[in-house]
Amino acid sequence: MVKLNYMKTLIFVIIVALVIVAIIKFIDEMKLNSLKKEVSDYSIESESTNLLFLYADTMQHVDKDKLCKVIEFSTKRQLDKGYYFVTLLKTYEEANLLADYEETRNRYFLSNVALWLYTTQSKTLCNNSEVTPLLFFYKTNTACPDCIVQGQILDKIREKCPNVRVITLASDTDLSIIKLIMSQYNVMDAPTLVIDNKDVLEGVQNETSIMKYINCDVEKNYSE
Amino acid sequence: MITVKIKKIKKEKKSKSDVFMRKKRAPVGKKMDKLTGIAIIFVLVLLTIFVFSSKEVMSTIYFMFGTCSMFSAAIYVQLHLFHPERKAPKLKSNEYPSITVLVPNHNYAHTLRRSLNAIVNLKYPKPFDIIVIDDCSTDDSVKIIKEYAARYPQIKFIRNEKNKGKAASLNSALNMTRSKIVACIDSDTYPPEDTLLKMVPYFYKRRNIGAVTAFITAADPKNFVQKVQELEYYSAFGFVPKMMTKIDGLTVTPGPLTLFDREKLVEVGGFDEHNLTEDMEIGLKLHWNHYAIEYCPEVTVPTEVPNTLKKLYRQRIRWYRGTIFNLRKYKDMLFNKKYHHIGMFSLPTCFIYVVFVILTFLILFWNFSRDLLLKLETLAIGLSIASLSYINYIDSLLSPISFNSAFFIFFILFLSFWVYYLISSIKIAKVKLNLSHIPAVVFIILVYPLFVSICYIISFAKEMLGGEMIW
Repeated sequence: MVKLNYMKTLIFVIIVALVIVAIIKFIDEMKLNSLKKEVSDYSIESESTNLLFLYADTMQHVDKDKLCKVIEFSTKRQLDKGYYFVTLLKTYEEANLLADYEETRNRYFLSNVALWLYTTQSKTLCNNSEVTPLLFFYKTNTACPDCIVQGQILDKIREKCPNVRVITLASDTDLSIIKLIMSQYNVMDAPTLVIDNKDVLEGVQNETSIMKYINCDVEKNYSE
Repeated sequence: MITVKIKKIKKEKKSKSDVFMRKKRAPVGKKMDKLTGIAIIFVLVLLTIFVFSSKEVMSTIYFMFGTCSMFSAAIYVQLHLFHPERKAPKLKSNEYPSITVLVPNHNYAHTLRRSLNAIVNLKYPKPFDIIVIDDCSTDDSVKIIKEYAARYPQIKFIRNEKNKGKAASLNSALNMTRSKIVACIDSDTYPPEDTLLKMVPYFYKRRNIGAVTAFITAADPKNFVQKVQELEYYSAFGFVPKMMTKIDGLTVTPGPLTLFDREKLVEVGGFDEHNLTEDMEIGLKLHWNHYAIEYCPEVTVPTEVPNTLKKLYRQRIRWYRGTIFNLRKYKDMLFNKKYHHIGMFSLPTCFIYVVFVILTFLILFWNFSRDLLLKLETLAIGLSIASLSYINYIDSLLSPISFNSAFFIFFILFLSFWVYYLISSIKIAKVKLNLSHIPAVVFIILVYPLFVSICYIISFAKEMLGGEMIW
């Protein structure tokens, strides 16, 4: 009868299996790194807006119109960039096994909080009453078909009304700032919308019911 | 002193009964106790929920089984590359032993003629008897057999007044013959002319050979279900048994056609009459008594395969229940060094392979159904909330499921092993696949394992709950 060395074969197979694990780790890290780079670009944008406000505070005689235009342009660009991260982050994270997404995810949401604050601040600074910040709370850790639908409806509104600034935040993170915002507006569940920092709408809302709370400015072109 | 004596006597008795066990008997297969069965199912369901609850646990378990499947593949490749197979000796025409062909039949009138024609035309240096056992058929079988018996004097005909089952029919025919070898051929199998000539020399390859099996294939597949099975038979009955026979690890003697050494078959007690898959049982029983099974890759024997999904489902439930029952019955052989490779490799592999296939496709099914459910829910909510343009939703419905890379890599790995086995088997069978096989190939890779998994799960539940054994 043929003699086989099971032990040697087993060791060989385990080595191959470990190589496979290394490959999986490599692929996961590669995906994470590509996302990390984009998120870091994104947060640089919010840092530059931060500096713009600091600049306005520090220097006495600033041309307000010019400053407002720059801030406007910067926040708008950041918004356009970050809008697709939500879905991207989710699909990447679902397919991930060995890489750690916690940091990247938190960085993204913190940048979003900053973006929301700058939008609100620029509204008073530049007397720009048409700009409407819209906070959208959704779930990251569990499946939420309501959130997907809400996202698509908001997508439409965003395209239609350039003055509406949709900013997404996760309702189930541990970040203290997001928890504070949630308790301030009494947000319990996702999806929830906070329109213009005062109106809170819980559950999925269709286009017409959201439109009641916002002044859609179709005409004005902000991306000059 | 007295106690020592008693101990000695006890020891002697034990060793005697051990020899007796090893040489003549087989373990008794018992039906599962219902309460134990329910407990096992309960534990397994809890375990499954635990596994599926977290991506990490799912991947770890998956990784473990992936490693096991790689291990068996590594063994096969080793055997394939480094252990050339020994040829069977060439026999002179007067050296061929006496042979009897046993043909059990139960309501196979539609295939009986073709099968009997093939059997009558089998070439052999010596004249041989054909015993056809009709197991109380209700169709035209008896008429056909009588017609053939009248034409060919070597055909003998037995008729069971009651339906006894295939095993009992074969056992009753075994008592009627004294030839050295018996060939059991199903009445829906069409052996080629040289079957016996090529297979019989394998009995002389080495000592203690109890049975010789052949490469079973699907006979002229017409519809899709049969074409899928054709590929399945190629991948299962070609390369793997050829490698397994090198380490004496064949567990099944396929029902459609197997040659047995009559004396050894009688010695181990013939076929088990209370078994769903007596062909697997006899294989394990021969091994239990330390007889070997040889595989002859030179002969491809076409047999009829189920032509509808329902028939296939019933056949598979029977097969898989039999497999589970017999694995339980011969559980003492598992990881038992006394049984060499069959205990240490062949049976554990068979078990692990089953678990691996079930797990892979449950994960696939789980991901797919969860994804689909989410998408449908989204669509429903979208439609009820707002009459949006549908394009967004159709887009997202068509988007592929997201897999994690571990799953993907192991799936590809497993698939490549399977393809390797299939291609090697096709080479052994000396056939060529053509373009018309492509849909069946896609189906057998992506959908068919799910069907097999479901069949296995149902069979397992039935076997655990001790359902009636119906052929």
